[in-house]
Amino acid sequence: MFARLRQLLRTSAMRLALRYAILQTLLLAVALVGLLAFANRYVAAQLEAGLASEAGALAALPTDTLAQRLDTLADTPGARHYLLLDAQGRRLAGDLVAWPDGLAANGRAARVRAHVVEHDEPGHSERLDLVARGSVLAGGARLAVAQEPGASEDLREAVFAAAGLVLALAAALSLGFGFALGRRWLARIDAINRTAGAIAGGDLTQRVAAHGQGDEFDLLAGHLNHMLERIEAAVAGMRAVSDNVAHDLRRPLARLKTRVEVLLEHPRAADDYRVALQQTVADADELMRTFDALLSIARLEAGGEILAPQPFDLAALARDVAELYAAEAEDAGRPFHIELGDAVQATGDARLVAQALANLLDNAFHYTASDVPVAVRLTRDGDRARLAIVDHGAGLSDADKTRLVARFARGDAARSRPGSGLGLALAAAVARAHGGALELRDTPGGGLDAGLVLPLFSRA
Amino acid sequence: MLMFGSHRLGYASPMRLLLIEDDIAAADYLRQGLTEAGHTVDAAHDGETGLQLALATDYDVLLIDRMLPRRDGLAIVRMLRADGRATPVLLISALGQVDQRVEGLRAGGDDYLVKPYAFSELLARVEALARRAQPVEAAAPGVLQVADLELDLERRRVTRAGQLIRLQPRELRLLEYLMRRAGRVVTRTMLLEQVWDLHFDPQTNVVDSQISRLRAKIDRDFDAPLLHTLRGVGYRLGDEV
Repeated sequence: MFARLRQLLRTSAMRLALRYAILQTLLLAVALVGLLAFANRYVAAQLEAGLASEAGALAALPTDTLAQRLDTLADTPGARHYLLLDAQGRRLAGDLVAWPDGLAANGRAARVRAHVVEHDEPGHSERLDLVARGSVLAGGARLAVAQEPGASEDLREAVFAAAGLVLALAAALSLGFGFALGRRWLARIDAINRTAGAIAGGDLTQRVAAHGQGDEFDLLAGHLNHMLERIEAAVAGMRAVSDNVAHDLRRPLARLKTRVEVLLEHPRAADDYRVALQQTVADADELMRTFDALLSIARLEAGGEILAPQPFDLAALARDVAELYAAEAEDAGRPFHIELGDAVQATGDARLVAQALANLLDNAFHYTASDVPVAVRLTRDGDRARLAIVDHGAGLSDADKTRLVARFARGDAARSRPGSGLGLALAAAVARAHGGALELRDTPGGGLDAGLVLPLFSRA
Repeated sequence: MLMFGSHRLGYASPMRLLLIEDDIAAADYLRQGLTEAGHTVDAAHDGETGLQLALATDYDVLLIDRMLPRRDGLAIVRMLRADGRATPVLLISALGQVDQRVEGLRAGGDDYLVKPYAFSELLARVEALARRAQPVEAAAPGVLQVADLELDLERRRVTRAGQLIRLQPRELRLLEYLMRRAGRVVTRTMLLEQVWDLHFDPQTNVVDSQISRLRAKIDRDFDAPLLHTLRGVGYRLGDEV
């Protein structure tokens, strides 16, 4: 719990909230000080006005009446304090012991410190902070009227108290807000951290949950999940490579080894050795082909996109490859149609596309009877081109179609026949590396329609 | 499928070859095969020794592995070329991507063979690289001639015994490639690479069919066949059997 709190205090949200709380408190304090100064001045003005008004009223009285009046007032508790001096400076009346230092008799109020005679014990006096006003009366007498600024002190205290309360409240609110925000952020970061931890632990299926608010956390979650998908796919691809290497290479290797071992079991005629060795070389060739195909697929899958893509004419490329196969079709008596049309600009690695196309043609020629018609057909659909090898053979089941376009899969029919059978997987990998796909459909009337769907070249 | 030792591959005159390969077992097999084919083979097992041998002796063809101890195969080729040696070089490597081939040829290699390879393929490529005894007779500038078969390179015109033969553009390229290597064996892979620019091994007999077509045009109406198939190995154009 304590560790959790420390972690919370270290979050950037919490730090931000703390900074805001401090800043806000400072600003509020400045505002309150201003308010206080304003209140002070107001109170002082009121006080001075009161003093002036009473001094005016007293000045209007004759001097002896004034002295009596002042003595009366001086005995009244809570009233103002007074001093009346004659022209020679002699004290005539009032409860101030002497004319306050620093007080001019010019009708201006001033803050002074003066001794005031106590009501209960006339022999004693006390020093008080006062606001005083001195004026000269007719005949040269001087009158001082003074008052304790108590009311203004009360007001100041009240404002101080209110300001303190407001400041404390604001600081608490800021902190609370920061705390809540920090907890929220921390919760979402924790979710990401948990996912990262699970993935570091080997569970690549984990994903960061998005809240669907489209905020920066959802954006981050989206990017992270995309990255994780790539990683998972790459790892799955790698696993598939090793599985397939094991499967596709182990069987022919085992066959090869067994043949040689059986051959060496007993002495044989020279011709038997020759035949067996020829078969062994053929097996080794087959192994190399399979190995090459697996390696090419793995490279394409791992590499992502084609480096340095070049524009090329897909129709011309398809014509070159198709014409290479046309002679063989003719020899085998296979109807072979080349329907390519005008130039179609695609972009990427022309050699890889040629290889993918040759793989599809190899497949069609290899897995259908020699009199089954095959067509090479190039069509455009929007910003994509579809280069298809259409045959009228046995076709593929839907399940096989799905599996074959996936990485490193083979149809069961292919497994039982010679040939690496990796042609479709390689073509699919080439198409994917070009930002396209290998699309397997049924030919109307039966057969396989294998289309390389590739994006067209655009100058944009 | 392959016929080791059942017949000698095409090239008539023995060559002096240098093999630079650090895998000693592989080098020994290779040397044995090349010696049985009639050639004299020196072998070096590291780049430095190989380079010294190549500089000291006038070989017909150098077979150089790309990844070698003490001096990289490409570095050897670059140094030889910088020294003005034009000896044909066959680079042999396990690095078989298109860009890696291009790199090898740019360094000065004349051909690039990817491991693992069939021995017959290697032998055919070595013999194709030999400069000696150019069997193509030039009847006139810009004209290739093998026996009574003539190819006018400028006019893209083929005649045999004076009789005009019509060929498709690709058939013309195929014939030109064969004529430039007349008397020597060319393999399916060499044809696919050079004539069709395809760097892989189709599982169907596409090249055989193309050759049959060409043969039908240049040989069918004439007494002496010129285009020969060496079963399991490749093809050879020429009038000697």
